[in-house]
Amino acid sequence: MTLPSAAEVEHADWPSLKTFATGLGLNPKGRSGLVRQRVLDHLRTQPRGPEWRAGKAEQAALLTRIGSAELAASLWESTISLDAPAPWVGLGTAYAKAGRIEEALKCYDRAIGMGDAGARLHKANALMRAGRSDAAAAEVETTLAANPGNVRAWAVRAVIAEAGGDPQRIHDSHAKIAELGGARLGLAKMLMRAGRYEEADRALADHLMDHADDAVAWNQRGVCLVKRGLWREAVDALKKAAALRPKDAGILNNLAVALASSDRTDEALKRLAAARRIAEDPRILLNQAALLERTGARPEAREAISRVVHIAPEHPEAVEAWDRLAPGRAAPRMPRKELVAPPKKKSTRKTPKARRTKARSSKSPAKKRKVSRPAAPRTRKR
Amino acid sequence: MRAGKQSLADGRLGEALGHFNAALKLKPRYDIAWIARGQVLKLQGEFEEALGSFAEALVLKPENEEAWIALAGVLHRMKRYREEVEAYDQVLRLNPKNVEALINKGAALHVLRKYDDAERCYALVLAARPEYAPAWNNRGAALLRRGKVDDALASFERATRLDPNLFDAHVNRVFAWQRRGKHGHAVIAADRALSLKQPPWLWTLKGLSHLALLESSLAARSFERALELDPKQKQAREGLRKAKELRKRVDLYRGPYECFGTFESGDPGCGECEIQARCVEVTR
Repeated sequence: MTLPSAAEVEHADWPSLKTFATGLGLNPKGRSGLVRQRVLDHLRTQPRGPEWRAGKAEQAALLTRIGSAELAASLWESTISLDAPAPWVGLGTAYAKAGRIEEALKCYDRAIGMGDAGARLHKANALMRAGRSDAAAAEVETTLAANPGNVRAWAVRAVIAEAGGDPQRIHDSHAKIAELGGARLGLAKMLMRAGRYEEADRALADHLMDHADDAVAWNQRGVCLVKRGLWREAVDALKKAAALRPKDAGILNNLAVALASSDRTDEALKRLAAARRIAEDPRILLNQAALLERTGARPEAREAISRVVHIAPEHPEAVEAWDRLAPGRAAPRMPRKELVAPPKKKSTRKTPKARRTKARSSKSPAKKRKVSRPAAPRTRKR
Repeated sequence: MRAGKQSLADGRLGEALGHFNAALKLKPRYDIAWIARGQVLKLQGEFEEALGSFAEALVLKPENEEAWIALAGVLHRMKRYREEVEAYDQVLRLNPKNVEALINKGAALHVLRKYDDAERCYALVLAARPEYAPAWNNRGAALLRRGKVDDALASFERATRLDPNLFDAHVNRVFAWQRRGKHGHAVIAADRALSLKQPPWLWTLKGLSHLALLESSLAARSFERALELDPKQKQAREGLRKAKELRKRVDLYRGPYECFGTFESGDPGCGECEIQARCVEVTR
């Protein structure tokens, strides 16, 4: 039995107290205060149980994850037993990480032979890494035939379809994941990519019903609404995203675009300035320059464009804007790297001197007398 | 000095004394060596000489608190309690917040039957260190002497809560409950104390409470255990005789009920008790 905490015992009612006493092999009979004291005394005197230590399997799993694949494989080998598929899956993953795909596939086959359905998905991943996407897809289909409700299998199917560039399969997979109660974000992303913004918006709305604090989803929804021309709603959604992630330059940029489109230029410029302070991204700088140019602030717009040209000299939009804003002027270039290292500065720090410590005088060896002298009025002599 | 300290730590007292004497020959005005020498002599039972050593240390450095406390300790062993109190007063003049001096002074005043003064000392200790279990125990002992049994019990309760292994507090609870005539509680406290140490007189005390609860067999067993540990216990011998006589008339059996004689109406444990009627009978 797991030992209850002292606080639990202190506040336990009579039936719980009796259960604790019985469970610990103590006498549960008597006045409640006494039974409580009995259990508390037991807790105080009972040595704590042995501490948990990672076994070989736990160590192997940890090593597989942190990257020491060869070492993990040798540990997994030592944990293998005749009836447990998990070590085979672990060994396969370690081999796959070490780039020994054929050996990994053999391990997964052993696990599949032992009845581990999850091993098929591991095998599919390994096959994908080996470039055998058809075989990987076949493994996933076998898993789904056995268990159509396996969300993980649908997710792997979506990944394989994405790698193969099959939009219908990607859509089907994500739609199935959403139907099974899984994440709708993937479906929304895929629908947005396909230009189906209305459906994507619906999927995101469903997702946000359960995950109201998902800034990424609010941002995606804002983008969807922008694409649909619903500026006010887009501003609301993006403001929510910005409130959840105030330091995300991408969200601030999107919000600025939505604000600018609803003729709130000043606000948009403020957001863009804030985004630029976080990251000097060419997209943000180009948006800022375009907006400044629109308001007639050409020198400021030129400054923003000069930064883009400085960061990405080949950016076509930047080159075009520079030609428009500063016709005839040479675009600013990055300074060439110094090939010779500059001479090192002479250290102004003085060489530290060794400190001398004063020898301490030793104290008396006499120990202090124990102070808990009994002062009890007893019948015995002191 | 280092060799002396090592010998003292290893329990080689004669050798340690030799080292400290040698140190004092080289530097006779070394107060720490005098204190160390005094400690060795005290451990050897040479109290007069130890006293002399500490006095030498104090002549050289009268503001040495450690020397005053050591001197008071020897005076306590010599049962010179009045002088012991004076020594602690010296320490407290130097440092009024010295907890060790305060609690030991309280204990010395307790022996001198100055319970009010002792209680004041403990109050000062507890103001500085309210978690100090021995101070609660000593305060309870002083209160018990002054007849304030309920306050004393509260103090002992506090002491045992803070330090469940404080033997003295458990023993004092036995005295307090017996004083109130609550022998069921006295037996419980005695059992808790006996789980820590088993002095023969405590078995006798427990036997007396069993007698009061009309548990002749348990009383006889307690007295027998006391006599086993110390055959010279007169009170235990007398108790054993009484227990045997009582057994001819009555012998209550408590079974698994450790709390026999502590009936509390409304308690769920007492509500389920199989020997409730007899428990009510003996609970006063």
